[in-house]
This record gives sequence, C-alpha cells and structure tokens, in this order.
Amino acid sequence: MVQKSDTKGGSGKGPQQPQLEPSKTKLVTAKTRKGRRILESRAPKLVEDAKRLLVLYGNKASQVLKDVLCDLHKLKAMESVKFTRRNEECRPFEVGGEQRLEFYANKVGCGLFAMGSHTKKRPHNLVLGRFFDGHLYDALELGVEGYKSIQAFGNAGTGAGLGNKPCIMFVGERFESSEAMRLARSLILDVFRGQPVSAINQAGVDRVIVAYAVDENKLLLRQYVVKLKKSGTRIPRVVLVEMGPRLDFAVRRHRPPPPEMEKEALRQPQLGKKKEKNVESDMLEGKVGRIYVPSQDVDRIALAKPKGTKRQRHEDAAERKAKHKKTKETAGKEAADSQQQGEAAPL
Amino acid sequence: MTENGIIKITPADLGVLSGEEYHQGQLDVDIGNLSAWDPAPIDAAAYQGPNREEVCTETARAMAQTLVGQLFQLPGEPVKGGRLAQLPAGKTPLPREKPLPKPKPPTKWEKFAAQKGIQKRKRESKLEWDEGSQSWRRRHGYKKANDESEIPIIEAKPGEQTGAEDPFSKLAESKKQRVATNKKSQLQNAKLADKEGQLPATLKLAQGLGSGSGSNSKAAGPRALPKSKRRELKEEVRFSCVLDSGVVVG
Repeated sequence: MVQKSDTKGGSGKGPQQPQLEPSKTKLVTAKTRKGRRILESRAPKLVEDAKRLLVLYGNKASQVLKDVLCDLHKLKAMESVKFTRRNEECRPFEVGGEQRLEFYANKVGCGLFAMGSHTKKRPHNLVLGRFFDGHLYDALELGVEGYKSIQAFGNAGTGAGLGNKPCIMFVGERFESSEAMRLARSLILDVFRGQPVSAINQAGVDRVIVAYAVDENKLLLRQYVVKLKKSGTRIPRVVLVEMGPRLDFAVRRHRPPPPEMEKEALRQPQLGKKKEKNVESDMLEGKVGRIYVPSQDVDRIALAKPKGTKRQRHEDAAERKAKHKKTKETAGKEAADSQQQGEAAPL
Repeated sequence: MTENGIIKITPADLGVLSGEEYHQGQLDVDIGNLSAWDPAPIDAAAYQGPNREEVCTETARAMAQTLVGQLFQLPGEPVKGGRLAQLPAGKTPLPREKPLPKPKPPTKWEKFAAQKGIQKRKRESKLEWDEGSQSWRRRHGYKKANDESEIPIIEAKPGEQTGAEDPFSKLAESKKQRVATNKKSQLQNAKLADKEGQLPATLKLAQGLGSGSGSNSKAAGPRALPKSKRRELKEEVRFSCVLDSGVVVG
C-alpha cells in the first residue's frame, strides 16, 4: 500500500523541459464564453440578420449631407452605426480606396454603408453601397440636389413607429432598363427592408418609402406615413401624409458587383425539408409511393418445381450416389497402392 | 339634401372603396419584402412640373392601396392590437452579407467511425453513481464520480513490488499524456479543416511555439517556462548560425 504524498504528482522526474518548435502552428480558441459568442455571431449564418448600415463622412461633408446622413441614421434606428468624424482615404470608386471602408465595416459588423462627401467636382455626394464577406460588393453615387429634412415636415413622422418595417415602392420602367437604376432599386430595398420576417402585424404597416426613376439619371425619394381609414370593407382606405426626408438625387457613378462575387452572394440556402422523391399523397389511399423493379428474366426465373419431375429427380440422385461411391472405392485403392510405394521408396 | 329633409349619402362620402382607389395598370408586387414596382413608362413632364409633389403622392397612394389590399388578403390570425398576416418569402434576389456557412468537415475519428459504422449514442444523464461517496456525481470534470486521483490509498495488486514507483504520479502522468494526445489530434483536425477553409469561427490557427509532445506549458509549471523558453530559443538561433555560415557565433 502506498500513502498519497502531499505534493500531487510532484515526486519523480521533476518538471519536464517543454519541447519548443517555433515553426509549429497552435490552436487559438476564444478565451471567454462571451468572446466565443461574439465570434459565433460574426460567423456566416444560414438565415442572416438584418444588414446594419454604417453611416460616415468622407474627406469633407457639407451641412446638407450631414443632415441627410442624420435622417438616414434615424430611419434605420437600431440597425445603424454612425461615425461622427471625417474619414480620409475612403474612396469606394478608386482602386484601393475601398480598403479603409472595408476595415471600418468589419470593425462594426455592417453590411451596408452610406458615405457623404463634398468636393467641387461632385458636390453633396452620397454613396450607398454594400459589402459581401468583408469586401466591397457594389456602390452607387448620388448627388443630393434637393432636400427637405424629416424635421421640416413637423410632427408628421410621429405616426410611424420606430423599427416598423416600411413598404418600399418603385415607380418607373428605368428600374429595369438602366443599370444604375437597377442597382439603385436593389440598394434601396436592401437598405430599408430590415429583417426579413414570416409574419407581420397589419396595423404595423405605417410608412411607405417611394423611389421614382424620373429621368435617365434623376431619382426621387419620398417617405409617407400610412394612415389606415375605415372603408366599410375588410380592406382599409389608405391615406398618405408626407413625413420626409424628401430627397432629389442625381445618379452619378456606380460600381456593379463583380460577376463571380455576385453569383456567390446571391446563393440562397435550402431551407426546410427536401422534397421526397416518388412519394405522393392520395385523397383515398393516403401516402402512395412508387417503386422501381428491374425487368425480370423469365427464362431463368426460379419457378415452383412440378410434381411430375419428382421421380426423375429421385432416380438422378440415386445414380449420382452410386457413382460417387464407386469413385470413392477406386480412390481408396489407389491411395493404398501409393502408400505401399511410398514405404518402399526410402529403402 | 332632398326636399323632404332626407340626406343622401354616397359610398364615397362614407369612405367606402369604389375600386378606383387602387393602382391602375400593371404592378409587380413582392409582398414578402412589402415591396412593389410599377414598370409602366413614367410621365417625366408631370414629375418636373409645378405640382410634382401631388403627382408623387397620388402615385404612391394608389400603389400603397393595392399593396395594403394584398396584405389584408393574406391568411393570418388576430392578435392583440391588430392582425398577424403570414408573409411569404421575398422574391427579389438580394445579396447575402456573408457566404453560406460550410458544413463542419469530419474529424479523423468521425471518418473512421463512419467507415466502421460506429454510431454516436446520447447518454441519458450526465451523472454517474459514485461508489466512494454513495452519491450521484458528474461523469467528467471537477468532483467527478469514481475519480482515481481522489482515492487516498491505492491497493497494491498481489505480487506487485511496492515502493519502486509512485502510483499517484503514474496516474497523473498517464492523464497528462491522454490530454496531450487529445490536444494533438485536435490540432491535426483543425489543420485539416483549415486547409479546406472550414475552420469554425471560434478557432484560429496561429504561428506559435508548439506545445511539445506530451508536456505543455502548464505541465512544466508556470514559473519554469519563460526561462527555459528563452534559453532554448537562444540555442536554436546559435545552432542555425553554425549551419548557415559554418562559424559558431557567440
């Protein structure tokens, strides 16, 4: 019997020298549970959350742009991050100019951005864009030509609840024919739609955002509060009151997504069960399945043996038995002979 | 008002929908995104004239009426303060923010188990009966059931020579080795997963001073490590100098 010593595992060889291999990789895991949760929340998901909007200024921003961005930030409510200082080196339309933007978006976990910049060449410039997998996906440059803020409409906006899903509508055939407008339609829908939901409270439909493609490069953006009035039928009568912001845009440059990235980004997960093959349901019979059987070879099929052949079989068996016995006897004789020879050989 | 004092009220006065309130013409509705698009050619002059805002509002109102009409036709159930309509999935293709998650690649064991047909089975309980304390305890971890290292006395087997080796340190050593083996295979699996670009988000492979075989930093004691690390590295650097130039430096 051995008594347990006080120093646990201390007796014997003493501390071992660790073997050091500088080139070897090591596995780094999140140190805290909270850290792991954060990492998991940033990982790709099957069903994604609402894209967050990063609102920031570029090199310089005019007061108009500052107000526009402020309104945008308010509209996105909880799904928006706003930077308050100017950010140099953010030029999404120049080679290498998107790197800072990508860095900021990754830092705050945003999939969308709205950047305001003001130059002599492009005054009151608002750039809307998206990211995919931490890289710039597409961008659209809009010049603000007319603007009336939410504040200027007084308390019209009080009819709309914060965080409610808006209706988003588009007017004009150019949203299909013009590439920049097509991009604008996709972007506006992506910026304002918020979290995709499977059910919605009808009373919660309280604002509409409408975009009008008036000209080849003229885009109007309006927002109205929806008032549902009694109509005597199940469907209420809709009355709209403008709540702002009222924005008139001139479409400037645009950057469509690279085709390969677009293909990857538009891939959607297969949700729910895969459809079962060859199984249908019938009103009378219930679940009905179809099965496939390989074609039968009738010539070689194993059928029931007719009784008439029974005697023949008996006779055959007896004959075989007799033959077998005969061969066994001869074989025994031969073996005995060879044994005699074998005994004789060494002598 | 008629002569008899009877008031005539039209449906329009009551606000009853006549059908003219709806959007006239084609409307491409994506009800899943609460979105609609009017693909008809636009009257540019109307949108640039003096009563532009009225035209904008009227178009928007008609479209909103149609959209609300479709929304109220959807199946749903009454809830407190309204009615919950079931929305179908949106049909406008929009890009994802991140690529689709890739399935976790099987570990070496999982591959082997699949080949052999070994199936995972779920335990009914995390608890196990502990003979020593006569109570239910956790199977693994701190204060686990039937913990060998917690036994005060180890009985020698008949014929076993006692005193030559400390059975407690032997147990501790074997435990250390099992942990080290497991860590090694974890790293191997992570490397394989990393090659395929499918390393889980919570893990990261980094350049480092490998844990060494069988003895990691914790095993050697926290105080012993820094000194030895530096000495070992220095020797390695010196050795590499010999190899490169043929001259021993230092």
